[in-house]
Formats: sequence, C-alpha cells, structure tokens
Amino acid sequence: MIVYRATGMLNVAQGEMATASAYVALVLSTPATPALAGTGLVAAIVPFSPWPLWASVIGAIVAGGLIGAATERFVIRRVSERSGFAVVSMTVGVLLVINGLTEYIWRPVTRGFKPLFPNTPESFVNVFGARLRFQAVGVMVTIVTVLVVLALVLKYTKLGLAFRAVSCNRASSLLVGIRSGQIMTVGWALAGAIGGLAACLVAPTVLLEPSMMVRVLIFSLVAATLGGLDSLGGALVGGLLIGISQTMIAGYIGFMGSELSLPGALLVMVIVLMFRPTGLFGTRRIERV
Amino acid sequence: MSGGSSSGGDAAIKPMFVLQEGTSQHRMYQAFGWLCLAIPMILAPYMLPSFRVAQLAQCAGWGVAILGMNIAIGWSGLLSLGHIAFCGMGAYTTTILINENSWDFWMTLPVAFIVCFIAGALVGLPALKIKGLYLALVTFALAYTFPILLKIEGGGIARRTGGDNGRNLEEKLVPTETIRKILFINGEGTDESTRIAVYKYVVAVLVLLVCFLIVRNILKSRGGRAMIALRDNQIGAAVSGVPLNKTKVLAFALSAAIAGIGGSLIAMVLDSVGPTVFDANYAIITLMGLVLAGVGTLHGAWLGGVFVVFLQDLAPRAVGLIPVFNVDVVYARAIYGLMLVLVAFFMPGGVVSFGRKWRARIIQVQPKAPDTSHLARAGTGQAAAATAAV
Repeated sequence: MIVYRATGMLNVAQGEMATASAYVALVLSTPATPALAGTGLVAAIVPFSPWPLWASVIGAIVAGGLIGAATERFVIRRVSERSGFAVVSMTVGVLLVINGLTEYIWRPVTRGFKPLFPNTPESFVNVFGARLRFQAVGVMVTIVTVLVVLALVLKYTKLGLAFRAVSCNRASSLLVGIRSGQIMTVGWALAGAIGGLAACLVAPTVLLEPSMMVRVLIFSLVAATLGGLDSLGGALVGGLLIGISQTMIAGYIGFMGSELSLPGALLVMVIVLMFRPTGLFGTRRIERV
Repeated sequence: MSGGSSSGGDAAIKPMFVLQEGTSQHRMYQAFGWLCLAIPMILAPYMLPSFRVAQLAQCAGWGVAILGMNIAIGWSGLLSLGHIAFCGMGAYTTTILINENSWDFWMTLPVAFIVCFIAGALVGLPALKIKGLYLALVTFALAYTFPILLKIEGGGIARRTGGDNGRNLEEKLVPTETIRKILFINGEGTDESTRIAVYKYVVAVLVLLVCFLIVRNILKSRGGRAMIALRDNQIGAAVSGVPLNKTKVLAFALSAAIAGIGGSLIAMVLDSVGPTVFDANYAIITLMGLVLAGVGTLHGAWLGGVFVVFLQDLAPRAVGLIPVFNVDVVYARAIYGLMLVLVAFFMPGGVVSFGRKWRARIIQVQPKAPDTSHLARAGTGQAAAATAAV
C-alpha cells in the first residue's frame, strides 16, 4: 500500500518480508535454544539478549525496513524502468526467495508468538455487552495510529510531498531536484517497517509460520483494492468493508458456509471494481496518448 | 516486454551470415531450425527412462497452459495471474466426463475448450473495466479461491471434484494395438508403463503442436494484430478502429480456453486431479515459467512448461551439489525466485529473446522487399514529381 502510494508499484512480496521480520522479533526475544535457528547467534552477538518483547518488535521494524530498502536498491531499481509487469514479476521473485529462505532457516513449523497486549481470558472490556479484547483493541489502535501518522507525514511534510511527486510523475520530480532513487528506497523501507510491525501484531492470533502472511496479504490487497490503491483512508474503509461482508456472508447467507466467505468477499470486490475501476476512493487515471 | 524489440537492437554488430528471406538457403536454415527441435522431440521418448518421458508429457501439458496465459499476458497485455483456475476447470471437466459419463479422452477436449472459453469470457467481462495491476489482483484472487470453490459441499460439487483429495481418472489412456504399431511400442524390451508413458507423451505433444499452430495463425490474423495493438497502446488501437471490448473479451476467453486444454492434458498425464495442482502456488510457478522463458513469444510457451516441471526436480539437486547446503532441506522456491531475478537482470525478455539476440549476431535474415508494384502503378506521377522537386 505504502509502496504503491510512494512509487506506483505493486509489491507482492510484502507479506513475506513482514513474516521474515516477525521471525527476527521472535529470535531476538527467545533465549538461545537449538529449536529455533539464529537464537544462538543472537545470544552470542547481540548485547542484552534475549530482549524484551517491545524491543524485539522494534528490531523487527528495523529489519523490515532494511529488507524493504535492500529489495528496492538491489532488485527493483534495476527493472523499474521497464514495465509494471516486470516489477510485479520481480516482486514475485523476491517473494519466492524470502519465502524459501525463511522456510530453510526456520523450518515450516508453526510457532507461538507472545501477544503484545494482555491476552488472558479476563482481559477484555465490556462495551454494551460486546466483549472487546485488549489484544484486538490494541492492534486496532496501533494500526490506526500508524496510518494517521503516515497520512499526516504524506500530507504535510516535505518528504511526503516528495513521495507524492515521485509517484505522480517521476521524470518531472527528477527535474525539480527530488532524488527519486532515495525517495523510492525510503518508501520501500517504510513499507517494510510497517509490514514488520503488522506481522508482529497479527502473529499471536494467526501463529507464526513461513507462509502465514499469504492469507493476510490477500485480504489486505483486496481491502486496498476495494478502497482504492492510492488512498490511505480508502484502505481502512476497504478493510472494514471486507471484514464485515465476510462475517455477514458467513452469518446470514445460509448456504455459504464460513469456507465460502472469502470468495464471497472477493465477489464483492469484483462487483465494486466493475463500477469503480480504481476502487471506492481511488483517483481516476487520465491518460494521454 | 515484447520479444521483438530486442532482435533489432544490435544493428551495429555485423552478423557472420546474412540470409535473404525466401532464398533456398533461408529455407534450409529454417528447416534446420525445426529439425533441431523435432529430432530430440521424436527421439526423447525412446531414449529416456519412463519417468522422464512422463515428465516431458507434463511439460507439454504445462506448455499448453502457459501458451494460453501468454495470449492474455504476452500478446493482449491483460495482466492475469488467474489462469491456473481455467487450467483446473479444464482438468476437472475432463476428469468428470471420463469418470462419470465414461467419455473418451479426445472427446473431452472440445468440451473443456468450450467450458473454459465461456468461463474466460465471464471473467473477461469485468476485465473490460478493471485495468493493469487491479486486474492482476482480481485474477490472483480467482486463483486463490478456485481450490476453495472445489470443496463446496452443496450441489454435489465436492462429490464430483473429490474435494480435498482430488480424484483419480478411472479410465486411463491406453494405446490401442494400431497405435502401438505406429509408435513402435509393441516390442519386447519395454514394459507396459513405459508404453503408456510414451503414448501419453505423444498425445500431449500432438495437442501442444496443434495449439501452437492455432495460436501462431491467430496472431497473424486480423484479430491477433488487434490484440497486439491493444497491448501496445490501447487508446491508439481504439482510434485505429480496433473494437476494444470485443477484442479483450475474446482474447481472454481464448487464452482461458487454451489454458483449459492444458489442464485437461495435465489431468490425463497425471491420471489424477487435485486442488493442490491448481492453486495459487502453481499460479506463481507458471507465471515464473512464462517470465523465465519469455513473455510474448511462441517458443516461450513450451520452454516455460519445461521450466515448470524440471526446475522443481533439478534445482534442489543442483543446489545440493554445493557442499554447504543439504539437499533434503533446500527449498526449490528460493531458487526459482533467484532465477527469476537473475534472468530479469541479465536476459531481459526471457531466455527466448536472449537466444534471439545472440542468434542475430551469427545469422541475420533480411526480410523480403515489400511488394510495391501496386504502389508503383498508382503513385508514378507523385514519385516523378518528387524526383523533379529534388
């Protein structure tokens, strides 16, 4: 999402990057055991390890940022002049590499991930009879905060202006003196960092495994598409819409079980796109011949 | 992205041989090229062990599937990642017709074609509105949901498709006596499984050839040119009188139909279908095969099939040769990804256009001068005027 906003590119590997950084957090927060590769190394090199969870999450954010920046600098930049398809296929390549490596290093085993927020059976608040769990509320609040901060940065800072300029017209932004290469790298790093945070947030509920983000990724892509790829608020609304329509479909339309709720939500997306080809809040593209 | 762009790039380097199109040397050169392909293709089933022959037959099946994908991605510019679903539809159509209606395999191919053509047209309709990356997302969603749809309990779908477990083909493709004689597989030295593998290989390659010819001719036709124009510049194409909507839907439907035929072939070769063969994972693998081999090239299709099948088999072993890594735990996916990235760096446009570029350094074919006799008749006056002006 962020990458698309900043660069006009679609990153399929986003989920895999996030998973890898969640593993970094796990490794940082676990004392050295032979069961989890890397912990021994971390215990030997990193001071004060094992880190507390919050510090490990920060580590994951940094790692995600580094992965994102490296991907842009060494892979994407070399093909970005070609076509959108070339970039997408490159991110597919990156996806495969990262997925293969995480599976190679950490094995295809599901692992528990300690939740960031209190998550005992008693930890919920009662709001009009509905039980809101701290975990869910905490995740929600964190994500909304990050998005709001991001939106403010994009809108009011010089960096944000540069992002928008580069994604809007790369050649012109180069002409007015924006270092578009650096901006791109920063954009990818930002996206990687936020992905790392998001992965740490969802890891306790979906359990950490090398391909955990595939489903999450599809959901978020659908949500982003629905809301409009270039609109931050749209992403939020799209996410809510998909989530609600999924549970509603499962709950109200009898013959479609919970298995079918995802296809149902996807159908909603297709129908919306038929009428609003760039999503609900996306800006229309005008093209010159 | 287009294969043709790279061949004309190195005009500065003088090729070793220059052939005039239409001369006897040129024809011999062409025949030589085809023989280089045909001889290994004919000899392979008799030289290799039967499991390799079966793999080659799979290559042909995936080749047809990738040919279908290529129509949408390579020639029409419709970025679709969901063709694996059409493959699956073709495969399941064939399986269900053979198992429940005891049809002949050959009879199921046209049905698979028609089923996938209609499905492709239906999916293609939204594609009229949805463009570029959005289309890629929607079609990837299709690839993701297809295995889920197979498991729906209602309406007997799961019963017919076999749900999670998939289904085996109850009536396997077995060569008749005449075919055994024609293919020289009635000898003593082979066992039955080898004969069946050879026969399946021949069937798959024949279907691949037919699809190859069909697509080649379509590309040369008016409709094919319209597709390519659409890819290169949509607005320009519309201005030049290409019916955008009709062309897009037809191109998508056709590509889906051919991918469906590929699916039927894969079902026939594997003797079984299952949701894991036609899921999002394979959507990525087939896309990888296409990109590695060459998007928008005819030969990229079968080569892509070869990549899809043999990379899974050979890549982990090749890495196993490096002492640091251990064969059992190396995951082929990382190698695919790495290859995808490296090929994009060093062979932009895939292996096929890379080969073309090198071929152009050795042999270059000069096209025949266009037939201008009708122009000469109509424009003599103008030409004379122009000469006079100079």
